[in-house]
Amino acid sequence: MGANFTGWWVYVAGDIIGAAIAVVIIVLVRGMPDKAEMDAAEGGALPL
Amino acid sequence: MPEAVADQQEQHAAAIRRSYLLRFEEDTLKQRPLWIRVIIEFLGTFLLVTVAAGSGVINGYAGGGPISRSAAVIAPGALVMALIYAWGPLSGLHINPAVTFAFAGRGVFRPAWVVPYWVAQFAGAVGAALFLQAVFGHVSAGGNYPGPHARTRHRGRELHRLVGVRRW
Repeated sequence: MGANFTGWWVYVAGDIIGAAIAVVIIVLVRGMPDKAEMDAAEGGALPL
Repeated sequence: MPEAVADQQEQHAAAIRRSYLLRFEEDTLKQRPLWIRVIIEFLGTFLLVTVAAGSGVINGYAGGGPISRSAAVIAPGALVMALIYAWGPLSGLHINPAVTFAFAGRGVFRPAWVVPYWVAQFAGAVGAALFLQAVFGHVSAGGNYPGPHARTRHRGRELHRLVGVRRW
């Protein structure tokens, strides 16, 4: 935005609200997390 | 004869290099300590912002107008896919603070790592912006701007009324 910080809070609030909505949707769609999901979030097993 | 000795020494050195590399992969990468994860997040975010913002910056530098929407999304999308395949097993490759926040909220990412990931991601993004500015000078073509009919102040008032908070 070229050092224009007008309305900067939208970019913070949008991230937080979007992430919260995504979490709610994924709980509705997939239920509680499993190990595969945890592996994907934290990095899965290496192909070594 | 000296050639055979030199060849043998070279093979020995190569075996040692392989052994150390293997040990690094097995010991360090397999455990994936936080410092490796932070480096991966920093590099991933740096590359993503460099490509996502850099496409507009380079086109503007070359004298072109704004890039098309498809051009603006294909390069970052392809980059993210390649990075996830390559580095995903090392850190999860979030390269976005909102993704890290969502994973922590979902309970699949340990909360103690959220702030280090955020710091690495912000540092990578700011580093990429500074890199583009240092290389191309003028980087405004790489940014996103509200459209000509956006009424951010008015909408801001509506949102404040909706959520019942003071304007800050």
